[in-house]
This record gives sequence, structure tokens and C-alpha cells, in this order.
Amino acid sequence: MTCYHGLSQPAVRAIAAANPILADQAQTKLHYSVDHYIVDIAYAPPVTVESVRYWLGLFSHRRDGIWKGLLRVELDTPGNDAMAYAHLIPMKPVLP
Amino acid sequence: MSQRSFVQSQILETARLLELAGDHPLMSPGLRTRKAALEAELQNLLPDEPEARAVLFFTGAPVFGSVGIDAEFAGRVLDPFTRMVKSQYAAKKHGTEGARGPRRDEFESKLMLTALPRGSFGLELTQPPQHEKPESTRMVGEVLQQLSGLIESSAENDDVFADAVREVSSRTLVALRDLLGVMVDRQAGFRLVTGEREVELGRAAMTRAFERVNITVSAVRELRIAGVSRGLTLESWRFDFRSDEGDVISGRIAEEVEDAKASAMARLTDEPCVAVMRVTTIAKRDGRVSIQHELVDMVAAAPASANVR
Repeated sequence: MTCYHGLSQPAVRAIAAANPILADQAQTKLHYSVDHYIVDIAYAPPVTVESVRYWLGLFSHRRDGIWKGLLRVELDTPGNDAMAYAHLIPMKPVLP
Repeated sequence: MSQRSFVQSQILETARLLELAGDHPLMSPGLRTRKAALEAELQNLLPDEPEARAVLFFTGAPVFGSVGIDAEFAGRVLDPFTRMVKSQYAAKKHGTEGARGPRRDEFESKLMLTALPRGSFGLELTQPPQHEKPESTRMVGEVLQQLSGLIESSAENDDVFADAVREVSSRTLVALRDLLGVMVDRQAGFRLVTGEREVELGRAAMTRAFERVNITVSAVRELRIAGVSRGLTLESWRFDFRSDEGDVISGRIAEEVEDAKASAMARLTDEPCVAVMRVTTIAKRDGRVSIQHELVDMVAAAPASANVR
């Protein structure tokens, strides 16, 4: 799930038009192996409140009642990305 | 929560969020796809087995907000409600494999008071876990659904009520009359939730239902009818009988008839008999009459006995 804020509605429409895959669940699943949803947290306060309630309710437990959880990862953080990359490079699996 | 209930609630929640998101070009498409996927999942799920659980919600004079309920009123409504369940369970179970008589049936249909849900104040009744057997749990669940339908029909119209009465015992009707009577007396509103079924009676509907059931119960008579037994079917717990006047009478065997007695009566097929029947008459507003017969007893006619009606 991607949460964002600070984009005007015309900008959002332009992004959606330029990247139709963002509105295509089947394609994001096929190409990126993710079930991807987007939340515009600055769109309207009632939507933000309802989104928090909805996604937290869904992701805090499995259907059989067992706890699961959410992991928050900031996007557009070049410094963090560089450190993560440096950390992961030595762990690169050696393919046979 | 069952799988089916979970998916149903997710569909409702997703629809609500989708409505709030409107035509947002990035949020709405994903929610629309998710809602469609959930709806497809629901289509492929088998219906839930009825739950052996009922929640009775009350409004009106006996309820103090979400704080509490008049204890005396709670006791007065629980008695007829549990009598309805026991009575209808016995009527439904008779003739099925493993039936041993009313005492065991009564044990299986016993309900515990397990919670006091808030909102409008409620009483949750559930089958005790130690008594749960798959077949009795399913049957208690079916009985609760049937009683929910009966209560709803009593407030609807004469025809719908007459259809519902065909499948219930006269003792169940007496208990329903008592239940509605307590609520009318205390000016209470009522909502019954059983599994996915829900029925609600406001005060006007409650009064209408009580009047209809009360008139029906008041008209229950026990008659001795001479004729010829045309057989009992002990699986479906029903009988056929031809009276000396030539009327063919069909109906349910009364719930209180034990298996051994029913087997003895079944052996009288095609014999002249005197039957004791409980007759329930529903007089409809348009003048038509619906009559239900329950067979209470039947003995071979004495050779020289006069027919009695």
C-alpha cells in the first residue's frame, strides 16, 4: 500500500493518466508481485480516517484471528536507499 | 466469524470506503477491483450452517439505554423464548434417526445466556459447548431460523402466518403468544438476530402480531374424530386420516407423542380408529379459514362404537 500526500488533484490525474498500471491491479500483481493499493492521505479527512480504520482492521489480523502487522517504509529517501543497497550487496545470493 | 460473514463484512466496508473515495483516480480503481474480487469469492463460498446462537435485542420501556434491562422483564421473555426453542426442536427432531424421546431432545436444545450485547440492550443465547454435537447444533440453528421466520410472519399477514404455522407445533404457538404478550405488556420493541437472519418488530407490529397469534391460540381445540387411519410416516412425523364423514385429514403428529406410541399408532393403518386431534384454526380477514391438525392420540375403534365428532 502506498500512502502519499501533497499532490494536487490535477497532478494526481496526470500521474494516473501517464501510469495506467497504477489503476490496474492485475498488471501490478503480474509485473511487481504485489497486491497494491494507494491512499491519498490528504484527499479528505473522512477518507483518511476511514482508510486507517479499514486497512488497519484488515492487516492487523489474519482471517483466522492470528495477529499480523504492518511495516512502514518511507519512499523517496535516497540516503536510506544507498545504505540499504550497500547492506544488501554482500548478501547477494550466488547463483549456481 | 464465519468465512462467509467475514467476506460479506469486507464487501460492505470496501463499498463504504469506495463511496467516500468517489472517483479518485488512484484510490478508487484498487478498491473497485478488491470489491469485485470479494464478491466473486462470496459467490463461490457455500452457505453457512445455521448457528445455534440467537441474540434478542430490546428497546422501549424495559431498557435503560445501553446500561441495563429490567431483570424481571428479561426473565419473563426468556422463559417463553426458550420454551419455543425446546418445543419446536422436539417437533422437528421426532422421527429422525437417534431420537429417544422428549427428555433428551430438551437437553440438546438447552440454551445458555452467554452475553449481554450493548447498543439497544440484548441477550445472547448459545448452545452450551459441552452439549454441542454437529447434528444437534445444526438442528438448533435451523429451529432458530424457523422461529425467526414465524415471528416475522406473525406481524405480516394472515396468509404468510398460516403458511408458517403449518410447520410449527401448537405448543410453539402458545409460547410465541406468551413471548409477544410480555413485550406488548411492557411496551418493548424487539429484534432477533439468528445467523444471517434478522427480524425486527416495532411496537405497532408487535401489537398486530400478538393479536394474530392470540386469536389463533385461543381457537385451538382438541377433537375426537372417528374414521380410518391412512398411515403415519415416522421419518417426516406426519399422518393421514379419513374421517367417517369422508374428509381426508393430513397433518403433523404432535411433538409430545413418544416414538413407541407413534409406532403403535402406525400399526393401525387402514383400521377403524378414533383419533384425538389438536385443531388450530386461522380465520383470515377475507373470510377464508386455514385449519391445521396435529395428531395427539389414536386408538382402535371399539367394534360397536358410535362415531363421535
